[in-house]
Amino acid sequence: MEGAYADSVLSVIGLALAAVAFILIVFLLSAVVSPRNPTPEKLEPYECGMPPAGVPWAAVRVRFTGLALLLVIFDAEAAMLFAVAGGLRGFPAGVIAVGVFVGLLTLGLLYAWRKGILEWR
Amino acid sequence: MSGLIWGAIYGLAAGMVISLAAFIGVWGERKIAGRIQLRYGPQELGPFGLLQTGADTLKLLLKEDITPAAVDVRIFRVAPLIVFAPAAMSLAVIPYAYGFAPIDTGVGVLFFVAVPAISVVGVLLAGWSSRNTYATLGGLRAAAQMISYELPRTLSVLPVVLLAGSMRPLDIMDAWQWWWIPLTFIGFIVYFIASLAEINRVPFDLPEAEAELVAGPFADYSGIRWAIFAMAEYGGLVAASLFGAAVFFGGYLGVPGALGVIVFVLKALVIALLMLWVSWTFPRMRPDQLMATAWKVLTPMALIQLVLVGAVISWL
Repeated sequence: MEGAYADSVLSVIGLALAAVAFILIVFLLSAVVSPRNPTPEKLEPYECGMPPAGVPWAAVRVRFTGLALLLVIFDAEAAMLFAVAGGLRGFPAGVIAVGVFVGLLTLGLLYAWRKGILEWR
Repeated sequence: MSGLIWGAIYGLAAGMVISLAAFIGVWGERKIAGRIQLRYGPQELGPFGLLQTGADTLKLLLKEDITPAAVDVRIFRVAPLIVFAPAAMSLAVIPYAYGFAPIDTGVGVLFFVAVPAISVVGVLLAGWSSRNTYATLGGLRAAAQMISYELPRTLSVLPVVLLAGSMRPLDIMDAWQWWWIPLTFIGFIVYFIASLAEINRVPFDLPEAEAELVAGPFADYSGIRWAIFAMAEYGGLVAASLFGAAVFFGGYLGVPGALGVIVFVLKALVIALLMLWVSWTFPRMRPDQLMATAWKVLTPMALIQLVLVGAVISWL
């Protein structure tokens, strides 16, 4: 079993490496056939013909920060549900136990909803 | 060790499948979009304009690859890889034929919903490293959108796992019954909408909204680097429709061999066409509507579906 596990992890690594290699080959091909002629105007950030005003790497108001927190909670919920989902067929007590867990988190969503975290402010 | 080699072979195959799908898909999409908008679409190059995508690809390959002076070069160059690789990887766990999934793993469904989420990081990095107001705003929008829609998407496939009693895609295919279609229909609708949002197609294309943000996170990318982003989006479309056809509509339906693959691909094609139809018909949403849809409509829908299926599986 351990060998099979190691093999499946290795195959995922191989998959990622090959996908990256595929793009690198395409990049290389493009680098060989495409021209290189940089001019100062060309190297400006893309704007409507004028020099950009200010630096974009400034504080940006990210809305829905509360939602990001909510997502962390619900993603953890989803991960746990996946862990037990396979074994719930024909097991009413297990379904009820997991249902209580889901119900509690749904209450949390309703609470966040009432508190206005889901609104655009 | 053989796992590494097979994984690499499937990875290269996935890259080629996405290229081919983009090649045909872009042509098909432009034709369909043309018809929807009472135009003809491409028709000059080759029969029915079939070679148009080839010419466009060649043009993109021959274009100068500009790296603007202000960008954070290393991140700027790595971002397309981070966006493309997960899209290609997610293709590998889909059950294509009877008893065959390229990477046959017991956590296939989780792999499929988790891995494409990594491309959020790439899109965010692309936007931020461009050092361009539009790109930065687009990247931030993309991150907010993709993490919001990831949750309903994840929850929407869970009912099928509950019904099948396994997360291994091949086991799900074996256990699949026709009455799962009406039972998991709400889940499919949630999956469909959330997938559209994950791959930034039109009703949900706020990150790259060309009227407001030029091309969002990809504004400063040119030539082949830009093409990789477009290809990754096509890969996402292909993967989403294939996986949807597999888990919600039974994939190859137990038909062995090539016939089963054809059945499976035809089903996926219907879902893909439905996605194109939606994206060329509906106007773009507003950001607040976008987030409200994810959290106030889709997530509760997915939870209701979950409870419904939970009630059913107790008696199986």
